[in-house]
Amino acid sequence: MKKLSSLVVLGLGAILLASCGGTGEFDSSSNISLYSRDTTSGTRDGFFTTIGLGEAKADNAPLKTGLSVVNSNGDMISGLGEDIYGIGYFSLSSVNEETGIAKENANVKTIQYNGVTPTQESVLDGSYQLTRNFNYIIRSEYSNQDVKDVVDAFVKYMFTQEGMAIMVSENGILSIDPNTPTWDSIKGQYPIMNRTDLKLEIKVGGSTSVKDMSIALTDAFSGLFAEGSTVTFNHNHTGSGDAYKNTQGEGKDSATALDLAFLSRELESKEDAATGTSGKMCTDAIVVGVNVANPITEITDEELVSMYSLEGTTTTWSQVL
Amino acid sequence: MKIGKLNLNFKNPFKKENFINEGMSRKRLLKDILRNLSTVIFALFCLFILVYIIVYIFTNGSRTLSWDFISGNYQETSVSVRAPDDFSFDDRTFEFTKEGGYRSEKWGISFIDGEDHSGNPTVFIYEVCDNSYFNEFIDSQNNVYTSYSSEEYVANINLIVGDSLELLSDNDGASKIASTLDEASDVTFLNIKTLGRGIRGSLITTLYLILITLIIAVPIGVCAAIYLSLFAKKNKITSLIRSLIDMTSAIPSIIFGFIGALVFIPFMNAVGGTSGGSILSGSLTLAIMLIPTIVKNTEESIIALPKGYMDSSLALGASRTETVFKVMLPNALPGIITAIILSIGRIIGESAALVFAIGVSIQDSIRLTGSSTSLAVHIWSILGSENPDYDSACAISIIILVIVLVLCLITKLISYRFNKKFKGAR
Repeated sequence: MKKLSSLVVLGLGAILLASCGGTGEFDSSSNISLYSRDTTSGTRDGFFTTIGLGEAKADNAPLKTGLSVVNSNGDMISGLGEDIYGIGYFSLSSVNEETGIAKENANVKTIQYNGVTPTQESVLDGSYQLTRNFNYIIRSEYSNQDVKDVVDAFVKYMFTQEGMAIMVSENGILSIDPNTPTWDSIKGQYPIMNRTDLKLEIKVGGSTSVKDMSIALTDAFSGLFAEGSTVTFNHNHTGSGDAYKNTQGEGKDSATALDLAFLSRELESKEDAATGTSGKMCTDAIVVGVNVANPITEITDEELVSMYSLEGTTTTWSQVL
Repeated sequence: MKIGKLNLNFKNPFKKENFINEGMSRKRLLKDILRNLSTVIFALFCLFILVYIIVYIFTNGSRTLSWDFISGNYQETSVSVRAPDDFSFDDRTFEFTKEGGYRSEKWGISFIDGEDHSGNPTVFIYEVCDNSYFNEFIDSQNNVYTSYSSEEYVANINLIVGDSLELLSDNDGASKIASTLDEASDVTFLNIKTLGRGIRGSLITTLYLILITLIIAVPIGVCAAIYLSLFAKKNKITSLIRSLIDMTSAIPSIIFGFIGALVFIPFMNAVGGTSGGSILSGSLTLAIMLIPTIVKNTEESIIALPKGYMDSSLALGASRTETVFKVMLPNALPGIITAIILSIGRIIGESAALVFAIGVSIQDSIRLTGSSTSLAVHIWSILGSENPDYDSACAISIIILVIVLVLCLITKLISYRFNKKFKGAR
């Protein structure tokens, strides 16, 4: 009987371990399992708008049923890592560009879109077209003039050589004009930076895709104040959908109000930002990702529409391989 | 079937006696074996999951867990320096004392490749020669900056090479930075950082939350329990109140969370002058959530006291109030302490309610009226970013698991002693 129970333990362990593995033999007659971000995501907006399925950018109805909706880039990548028949999309910043493998998960690879490999270079020269812009938005009115001055200075800082260098190192894609001013050459215009009595908390939020970049920018910027002042940037990123809403929209006076927010998509027509309160920071590429077990190496926008759209006829991998 | 003969010793489910009875058919025997087997499989399944989670958390988290992690800042400290305006090279030479690293002989500095906490490659400052040009660099307030350390890494460096501007960062590697520096005529921007991601801020916030929540909830809960168990008449209204309290303890915490956001955040904004979620609004929300637990546990421990205590005290001439506060309450103390410890466990583990009632922003300098976040929500927050940091999530999980385990043991100890004390008297 002891033998039997140890056999049971072994068998059970083997089953569980096998199910943890994630990769296995790829059977191309299997159904494609579709992944998408949630409807507030700027990545989703950029993806569906660019492939030509714009009506799905904030609505699941035009998409095939059985779609898995995930709430973050990280969830998307771990979902694809477990599902060998999965396909989804996420930001290029989560990818090791040399290998085309996701940084946090060795089971997820990226594929060419319309015949172009996603890299910073292919985005800059315009050949890779599955991209979206990172934008910022600030309030049109501030209750505290010091906060307004700090936010104004920060926006200018983003577009100095220093700010742009930080955006580039955080995987933002932009080309820098050699005549871009340095912060030292323009900081004289911002007397708030020389104050020694500031005790401010600036509320920052919006897109989760821009979170790491905005933290790097505010970390560097908060070190520029004169000694004696403490300006802390309080990051609470909940999605591009909250950027306009909590700065100039219905949430601007609520508990979740923001002083500065970021979007990983363009402002929509209904998001009517006041003149001079918003702008583009840099470009980011969206990559199409699949499990490493999948032999596919490239995909076109038409194939993607056919896969995701409710009317599309592509349901199995053999149709695109 | 002779039940009397059946051996009910199930300690070994595969023991012959458990299924073999006189005249049992093969079919029945097979069914019995399957039933017994399923109990073992499911028990092992539970064990496997538990062990898997614990092993996963400990293997991934133990690498990260260190005193620096617990006591360090979450935010990376960042310093921006540059070469002074009147910068020019002279004919000085540099003596490096450390072997290895990638040197820039022109500037007198060396770099080395390393990794940040998430395992991404980064470039650390390895050595700055005493007479290095870098020791003449100025910060944003035009003060000379000389306090370079090997803890610092190069987040960005902007160089003038010939007529063009080169933007390098830690993604480029130490060798590229050193070799480009050797060609550069000016450094217009050097952004050096120390690694962050410590959890001190969230740890302090969690302690504050525990303290303030208990200050609010314990007096209210204990007094309510005393009233309900000792003073209130046993009628429909008190039993209604009691079942309402029971129901409140079953409300999912997310509902308390948004009530907290809708009621307590505006309330604290108006009364306490905060803006947005704060430790105070979070504590108020948690207090409301925990009062039922405290009422229930205290009431139960008062009811569990031997009946003779009340009667003896009254018979000795003490008033009813004196009896309640000097006899019943001190004796019910272990129950109250158990309630408090359970509450602390709940506060540490709570995340859904706090996401709304405090917010998810991780801070280093903690003020009661400012926003910050607890350890559990800290995990939520770091996993929600573009490149989730699973290692520090596991390290925080270890801390939470250890605290909860210790609290559990204390609760068990107290209830063991409590039960032993009244064993004879009941």
